[in-house]
Amino acid sequence: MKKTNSLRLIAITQILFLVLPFFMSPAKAQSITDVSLDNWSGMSDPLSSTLTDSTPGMTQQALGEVLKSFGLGEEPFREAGEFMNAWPNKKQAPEVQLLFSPTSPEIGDKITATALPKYFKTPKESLYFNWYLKHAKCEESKKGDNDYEESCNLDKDNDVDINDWKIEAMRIIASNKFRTERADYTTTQDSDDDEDGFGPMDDFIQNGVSSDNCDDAKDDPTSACTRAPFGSSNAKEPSDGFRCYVNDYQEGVTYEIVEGSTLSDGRPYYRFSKRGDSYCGGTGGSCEVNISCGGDSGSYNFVNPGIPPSGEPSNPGMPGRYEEEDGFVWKSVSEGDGSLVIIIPKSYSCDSCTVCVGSEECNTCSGVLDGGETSINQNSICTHAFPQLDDFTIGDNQFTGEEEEFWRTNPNDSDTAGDGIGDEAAVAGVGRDKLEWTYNSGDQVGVVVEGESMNQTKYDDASYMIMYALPKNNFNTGEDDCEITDKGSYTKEINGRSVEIESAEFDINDCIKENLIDPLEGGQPENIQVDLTASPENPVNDSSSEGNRNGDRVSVQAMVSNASNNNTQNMYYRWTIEGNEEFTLDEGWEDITDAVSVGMTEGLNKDSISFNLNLTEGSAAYANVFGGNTQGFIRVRSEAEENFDSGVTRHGTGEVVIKAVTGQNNQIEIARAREVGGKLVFDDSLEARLCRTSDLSLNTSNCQVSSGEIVAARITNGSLRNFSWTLNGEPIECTSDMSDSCYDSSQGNIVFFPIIGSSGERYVLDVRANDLDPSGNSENLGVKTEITQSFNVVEPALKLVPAGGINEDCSSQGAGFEAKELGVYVNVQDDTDNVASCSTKVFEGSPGQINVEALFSPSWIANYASDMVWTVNGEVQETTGNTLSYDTTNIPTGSTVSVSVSGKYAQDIESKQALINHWNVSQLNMKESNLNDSIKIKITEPDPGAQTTLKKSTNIMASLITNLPSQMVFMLRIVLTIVTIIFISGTVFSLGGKRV
Amino acid sequence: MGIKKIIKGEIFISLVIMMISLFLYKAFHVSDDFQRIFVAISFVLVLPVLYIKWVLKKPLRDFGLKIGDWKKGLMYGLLSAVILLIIFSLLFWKFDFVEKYYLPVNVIVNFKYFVLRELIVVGFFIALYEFFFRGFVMFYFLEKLSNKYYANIIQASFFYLFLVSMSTFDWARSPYIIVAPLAGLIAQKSGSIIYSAIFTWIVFLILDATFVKMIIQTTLNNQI
Repeated sequence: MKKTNSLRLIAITQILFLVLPFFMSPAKAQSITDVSLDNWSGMSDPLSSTLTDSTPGMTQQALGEVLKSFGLGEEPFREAGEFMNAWPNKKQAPEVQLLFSPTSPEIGDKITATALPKYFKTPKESLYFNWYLKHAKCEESKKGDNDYEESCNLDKDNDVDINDWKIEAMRIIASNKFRTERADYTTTQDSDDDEDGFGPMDDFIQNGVSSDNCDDAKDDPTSACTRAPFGSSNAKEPSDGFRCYVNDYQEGVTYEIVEGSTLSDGRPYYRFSKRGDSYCGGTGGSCEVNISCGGDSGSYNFVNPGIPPSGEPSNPGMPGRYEEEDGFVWKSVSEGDGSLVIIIPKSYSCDSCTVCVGSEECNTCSGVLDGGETSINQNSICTHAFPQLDDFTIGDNQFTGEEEEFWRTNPNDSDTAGDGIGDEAAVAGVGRDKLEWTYNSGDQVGVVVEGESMNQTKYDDASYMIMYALPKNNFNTGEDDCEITDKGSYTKEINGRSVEIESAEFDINDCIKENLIDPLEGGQPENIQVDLTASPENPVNDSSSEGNRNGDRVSVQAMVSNASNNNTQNMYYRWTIEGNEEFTLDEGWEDITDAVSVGMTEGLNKDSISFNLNLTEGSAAYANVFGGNTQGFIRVRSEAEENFDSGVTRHGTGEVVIKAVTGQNNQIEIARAREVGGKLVFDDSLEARLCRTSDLSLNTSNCQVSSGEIVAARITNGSLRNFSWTLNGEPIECTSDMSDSCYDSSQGNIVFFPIIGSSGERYVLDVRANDLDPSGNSENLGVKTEITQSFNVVEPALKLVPAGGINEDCSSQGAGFEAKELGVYVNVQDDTDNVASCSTKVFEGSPGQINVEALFSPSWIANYASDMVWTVNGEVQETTGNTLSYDTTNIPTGSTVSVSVSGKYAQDIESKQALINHWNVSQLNMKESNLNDSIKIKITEPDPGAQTTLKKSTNIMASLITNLPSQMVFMLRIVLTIVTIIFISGTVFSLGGKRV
Repeated sequence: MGIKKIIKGEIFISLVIMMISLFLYKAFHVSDDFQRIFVAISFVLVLPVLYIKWVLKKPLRDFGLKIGDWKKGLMYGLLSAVILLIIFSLLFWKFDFVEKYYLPVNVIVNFKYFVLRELIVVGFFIALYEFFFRGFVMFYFLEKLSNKYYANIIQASFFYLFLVSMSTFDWARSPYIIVAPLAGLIAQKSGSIIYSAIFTWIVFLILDATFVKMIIQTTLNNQI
């Protein structure tokens, strides 16, 4: 029992260790939770040491007992522990994102880069935004290189480097295009008259790697010293100095940036047995220490501190280094009796190293030291990413006229940029999250954002990690010295506990080149956003093979959302249309562009295409789209291209996939309605069909009807179930009272409507239909269609023409006579394409058989015209049908044959009754149309050559003969006039006239 | 002879017939060449002939339709030709007559049309006009007026009135104006309209031929 209680106590203690970190500061939590359930030996706590020294198996057993008593398993806690061990590496390091406006700048455009920092505790106004701007011509180069650009060497150090890029950017920010020719810098060369310096700290502090003593820097400041606080423009320096950190994004480890490298736990050490006064000639003497580890070796100059040590060995607390070796560090320390200890990195084993002090003694590895016993104080170092200048320092609270001249700011205005930030602070990038410049091809830009992160330090103070953000998060690429080196850790005594701190060497300036952003990056120059929309959603194909087919018209519109300068007018489009019977990503699509007769498929600003879906069954395109199915897929692609820059174009491709449905004949069938037993029916007889083309196969686009007709319209596509019929936008009412084909509840596939209107009026019949089954019993294939048919009301009429019609040159084919040519319509662009003007009343023909045809308008009334009477020169002719044949062989040449026809057209009685019964049409609106026409055919000599020669001279005779009746009347009028005059004059003369 | 008598008597009726003839010739609406010719023949030839034969009951030879004195006809024809030559020379040189006179283009470029025009069209209308103005009008007043030259003036006036009523003046009609009194002189002296008609026809033939030749020559020069 006692043992059980003991085990529970142990287990509860362990759980507390697991849970406690959730309620502690991150630093404390990290230090405590940096353990493993499998390896308790890492615990330095006395209690855990005890436990470790006792029985690990017992601990786990106790933990299992406790969890079991709470009904819990051990596994969830194990996983939680593993997550917590990894937790320190999941911290959010600061980041910065650059946004550009415009996103696709062209040469000469004003472009603004805006930095959006994240995970900084420091407010944006106090962050340092150290911009750098590299022009294409200002690649890094040494003077003397072929590509060295004098104009790029802004700091005049004979190198073109990142410092020049920084100056270029920060000059733009600080000067705000100030016109320096207006300023007089001579009077303020060494003074800061406008008091626009920046450097709020009282004392100078080290900026970057130590190379100077900043205590004396007040009088002679250099860029290695600064009064600009790290992490924030108004930060207070911690008691033990600023600490800056860098995050390794691959490892997830945040390292404190230190000078030099650090040693790690578990390092081998060499302790020399002699006292300090026995080495190298005694106290104060010096000799060389030779170290050799593996393949690395070197020497170290040892100065004997004496007994007790009057001083530490040379470079106390600092690691020694073989300069030519990378990463091989050691440290020399003196023990209390002056003995020398050489500490070697743990990466070297004891067996591989020998250490000799001068020529006196070599020693072998004494063992392995843990971190707690030999902690090494590291020198944390911070670096501003300010431009570095030899002659003056940024952040020294002195912005002299010389500096103003260099940065091109106004020496008499403390805030040249006018944004509330002093000139030197502006050069330091305080709060300047925007950079605007004139874009040139190849420009690259970046920013180093320096500030306090959201992560706390492990130190026992209020400090947060001062960190940097770069636009590409490239802190450790290994290229161009951009590398976090000498990663390690050191142990520091904090609040009486040994705290291990990861540390490494890092210079933010080394990574600037790795974090240049091209404003055109992100694919903008190559990627135009093209969106396509298509209508109708599911077009219907007309698969019939003849005539004027009626497949849905598919329209596709392209929209470009990111055209340069928002101008889509200069966009060049190329369209392709592909078909596939299955919906796939890329496989199986076949080009059917030519098959759909889309017309022009490319061109400037051609942002839309339309085509009629009339793929004939049996054609290759039909097979590509539909195969053997009733539905298929059409993919329309549009490639857009525009001139983006000199020699640079942008491209983008958009596509839309349309599901198409095919039918045999996607048309409305239109016919005269017939009344049978008081109900209207669709007359299926061929002669009742309306609106058909001359070959009777398909509908004309504009159907001619006469007033008083009852039109029946029908859709026979069996897959369609629901219909919406409208006439001139109004729903068509068709009930079961009118026709057995209609329903009282909804519209069906047949409707009837009357044509009551004057000649010239227009009716538009529209039907929408789909295959939706409201009952849900049938499969819905998604078939939809909309068909429109227009009707024009015309007055019934007929016209006599040569049988077979008149050709363009007024001739006819087999009619025996032809139209008289009245003149020629001259085509001014092509005089070989003149069109003859043919008389419709006067014709000419040689003696022989003539065939005259009566053409009806609308054409279908030919089947219903009645009382047709044909006459030739007044004699009634017997004929059937709409054609008359007459023999003119015996008619003398020069004579005229007059052919006439008359008849009438009217609706039948049943139709009139239906109009009255179903639509209340007044009988007065039902009129009978008289049809008549006449033509004159002049019988001429068969020899056309003679006719031409005498044409002019016989015009008068032709006029006389051709228009004989009218000329006779005219002559009669003349004769009567003359007779009247003679009669009157003679009468007057005989009555009152006297000869004088 | 007083005006009253003239108005109430035969002369007035004849004057009205002359004016009605010209008026109807001009005013009667025609729609083609046949009707135009028919109207011309009817009112310029047939109506005067019927009036002479049925109303005045006189032979047509009293109205110039006879051989007459061919010698005087020839002599006054030559004299008139000299006068015309002088006048047309002035017109050609001083008034740029060639630029203003015109003929149908097909007549200029096609000799066949030129011959047809001169023989049929020009000859036909000259014959009609000679009969009406010189024969009917002038010979009627030659008989009625003591001063024979007044008759010539009257017929010329009628002719001018007719030209004015046909259209506004243009240079293409100027030869008619010049020829009219000279033709009247020839007819008056010879007692026949045959010589005046021949004279008028020859004048227009030479004038048109000269004009065509000059046009063609000018065109060729321009081409060269």
